[in-house]
Amino acid sequence: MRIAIVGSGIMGLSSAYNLAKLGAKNIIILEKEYLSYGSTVRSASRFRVHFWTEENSRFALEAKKIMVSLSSITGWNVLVTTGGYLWLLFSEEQIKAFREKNKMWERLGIAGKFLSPSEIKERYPYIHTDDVLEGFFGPQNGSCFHNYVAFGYYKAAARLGAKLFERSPVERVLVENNKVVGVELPQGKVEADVVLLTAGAWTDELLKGLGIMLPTEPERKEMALTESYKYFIEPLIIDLGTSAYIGQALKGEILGSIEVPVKSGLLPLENTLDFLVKWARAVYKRFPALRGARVMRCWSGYYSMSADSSHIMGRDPEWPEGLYVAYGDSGHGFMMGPLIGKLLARNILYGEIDELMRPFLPTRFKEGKLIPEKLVIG
Amino acid sequence: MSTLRVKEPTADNRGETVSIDVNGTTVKGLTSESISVTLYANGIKFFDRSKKLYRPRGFFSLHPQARTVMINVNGMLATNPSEIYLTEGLKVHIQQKRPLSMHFFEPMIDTSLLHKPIVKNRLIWPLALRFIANSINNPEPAEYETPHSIPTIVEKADLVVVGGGVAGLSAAIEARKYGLETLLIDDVELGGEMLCDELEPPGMSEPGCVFARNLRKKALELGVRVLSKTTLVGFFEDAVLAFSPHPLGSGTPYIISAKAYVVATGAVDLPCIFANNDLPGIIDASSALRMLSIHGVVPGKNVAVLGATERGLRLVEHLKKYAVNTIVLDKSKNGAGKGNIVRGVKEIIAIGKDKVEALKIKRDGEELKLNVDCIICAASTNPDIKISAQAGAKITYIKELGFVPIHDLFMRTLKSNLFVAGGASGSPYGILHVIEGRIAGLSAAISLNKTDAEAERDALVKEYRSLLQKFGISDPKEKMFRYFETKVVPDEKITEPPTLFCSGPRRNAFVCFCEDIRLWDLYRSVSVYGFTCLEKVKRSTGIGTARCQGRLCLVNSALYIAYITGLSPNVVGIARQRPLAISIPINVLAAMGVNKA
Repeated sequence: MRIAIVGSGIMGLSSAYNLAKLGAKNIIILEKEYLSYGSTVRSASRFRVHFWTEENSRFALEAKKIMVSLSSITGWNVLVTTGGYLWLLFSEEQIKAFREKNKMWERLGIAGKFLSPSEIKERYPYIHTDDVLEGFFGPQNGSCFHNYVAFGYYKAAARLGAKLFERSPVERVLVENNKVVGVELPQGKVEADVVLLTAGAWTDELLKGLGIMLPTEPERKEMALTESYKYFIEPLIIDLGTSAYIGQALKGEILGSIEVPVKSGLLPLENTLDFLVKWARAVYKRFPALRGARVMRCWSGYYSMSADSSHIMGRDPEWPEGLYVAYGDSGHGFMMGPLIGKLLARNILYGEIDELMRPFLPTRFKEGKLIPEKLVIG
Repeated sequence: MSTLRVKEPTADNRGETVSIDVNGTTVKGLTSESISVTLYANGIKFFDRSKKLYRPRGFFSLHPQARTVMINVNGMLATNPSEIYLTEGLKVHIQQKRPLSMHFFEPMIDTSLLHKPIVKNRLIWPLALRFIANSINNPEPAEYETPHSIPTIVEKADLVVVGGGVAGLSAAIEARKYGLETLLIDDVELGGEMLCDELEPPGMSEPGCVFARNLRKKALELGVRVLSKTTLVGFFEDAVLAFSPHPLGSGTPYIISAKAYVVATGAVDLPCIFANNDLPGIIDASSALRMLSIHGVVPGKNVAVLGATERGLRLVEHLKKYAVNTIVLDKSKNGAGKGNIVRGVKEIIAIGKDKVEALKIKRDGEELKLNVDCIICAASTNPDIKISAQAGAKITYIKELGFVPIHDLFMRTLKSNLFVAGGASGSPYGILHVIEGRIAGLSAAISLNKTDAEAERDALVKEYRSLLQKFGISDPKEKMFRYFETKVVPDEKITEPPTLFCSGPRRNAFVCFCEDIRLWDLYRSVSVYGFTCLEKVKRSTGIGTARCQGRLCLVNSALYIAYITGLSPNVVGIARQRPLAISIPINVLAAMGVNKA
């Protein structure tokens, strides 16, 4: 079976690795720019298990297990830390909702801890807590180094025979007799029996070319990074009052983002001063210790947002035979990627649909079985 | 302490004498000097410890964007000593201690991959991680409180010229003549490098400093507005931002609004790569010249200049006037140029504990040892593309010019209303910078409907072409003008990079001073992991991601990768240039009201 994977982000690379591991031959990865260009290299490189819906939480829990053992799987140290996630809550409704959800998380064995403002102050003295009502701490969550996740997967897949072609932008998927026969590049045609679309925000265009409409659209997000400082911020801290978050990389850079209103679509990957100022204001207020920290760089990337903010994987039986997708991850594709690749590989080779994967099939939209995910930030 | 001051600065550059406190001792300096210059003049070259290996570091370049060393000023950590000017009673603290453990760990530390070979056992990883994170020499964020309201100044103009060298000044003058409201933004001070040139530049009949001073005067008389000691930090989608680090502790942000931009940011001296090239006392040619001419400080008593280039040899001429012993080291076996030149140098090893004390040279079958107190890198320059690339110009590599924004004879780039001129467009000589600046200024005027400037521009373009012929860079420039039309990226092969004075991928030859990335790390990223594109090498080693934003390391890395892989530098590519050009404190950004002008 000839398999063409479109896109070399975490989804494409982990699928390629898992397919190769299960013995698939003739795997090619087609990338329009360079290895892991797109959202993977632009991500905040965090993982978490706490999601608003049970389906996502269960999925993320399994994905985390792979993530923390990724170093031994791929041979690249992905620098896993488990500093946790801290959500700062500002209203009674937020607290009530988190308490409600914590019951579900408790059932899954991932209960978090509610912290009073004074407990927050004690544990993280650099947070301004005067207006914080409560905090929710998820100790199971953490960070890893996104580039080494991607590079490690690529190297492991390449060892097993998968081939990567960079600067090979796929223009459309070729279908004959309701069966996928390959993809078209400016350089020429590539024949394939299976085409897996993992092109993140660029997947919409390719699906549209086949007349397939899924409720997804790209949304540009911006991030900012400071110079390196002593490592002191262990968790990723999400301020639900302003929707800003910050975290610190091991090398010392403090990175973060804030939601700013933006038109959807593939906007140019530029930055706005509006974003930078809003983020700086949120940090100024919440983290007095960081007022003198210097913002060094900012960049932007796309979230591939789906209608219910949960990822889409697998195929719809009505689609041309051999067409699979993994995208629409709505900002948490990086943390789900390792498991998506694993389950998708079995799905492609053996037709298996794992119980974890079933809710995320693309058919859920027409069946009306949405997974309304609300914890999107971070 | 020996002083390196040899003359009084000229009257228009001379500030008042003040005393500052350095680690408890009093040091005298002038208010016209940055902390870097004052310390250097007093023989203090060791400013900081490097981030991962705790090696001694001094400044490599005085340019505010070359933020490779940080210093503690008035208790504020992480201050760039090259952008802060002296005031009475300033307190400077230099961290000189090196953790004892570093002596044992240095050979084991993998600065690029930070961790990979060290810990194989996953169970002890969390402990190791904490140790690694804490052993990085990072400062704490400066603790200072500024009032939460810094007025945001909105500067409107028809044309903004970035860079106040002779190219920028010439562009501003021409644009002003045709009635454009012109604003000039400069990192340091108006006049650029030619202001430091006490000799006659090639093709000119008066000393460079006289010419630059007259040009500066003319621009000011014509009513060109100037923001000096201010850096253009970024082209954002909704605004253009400039930032001045003064006053100390907060700084001043500006929002710039213009219809056209001329980028004349000049060229960057590339650091030479050799063993121990990170020692304090190894500086670039531009800083050496600036210290000498503007501040009256010689770079050393016995100086080695790397590269018998036009630039290197002119610097030697300057140094000779102040009785500095110089020796020029060059890689080529033969070439023009007279004087004390050692040719055919294959490898250089700098020797010294806290600063350069000597130099070992290897060439065919012989080894020389020289006692020097300063090494100046003048082997190669590259246009400063940070701003032009960010603003949307397309970058290409041409062997004779370096990585350069594609432009045409009218100095237009592939982005509308964005023009380049001078060193930023790859031209090597001052006289070319002037004419390019003038053409760029006229082109900007024409693009803003001052069509009567066309006749003047046509005449200048003719003169420009013949000057290019005269100085022998007609071929590469004409090649570039053709790329502007065809937009086809050329396939250029390179031989050994001019900055490489190292025979193998050494573990003590530094490419990136901010993150302690060495030639060895680059070599491994390419040969062991198989990454050949700079974006991937950047992400696997961390090169170009730290404080200087790749100003000093990206071009060297790209050329080295091209050299060892045999690929065209255009295939290796130069990494994407992102805002901001220099970092801005959060409190300043937070205080800004965003006026979408």
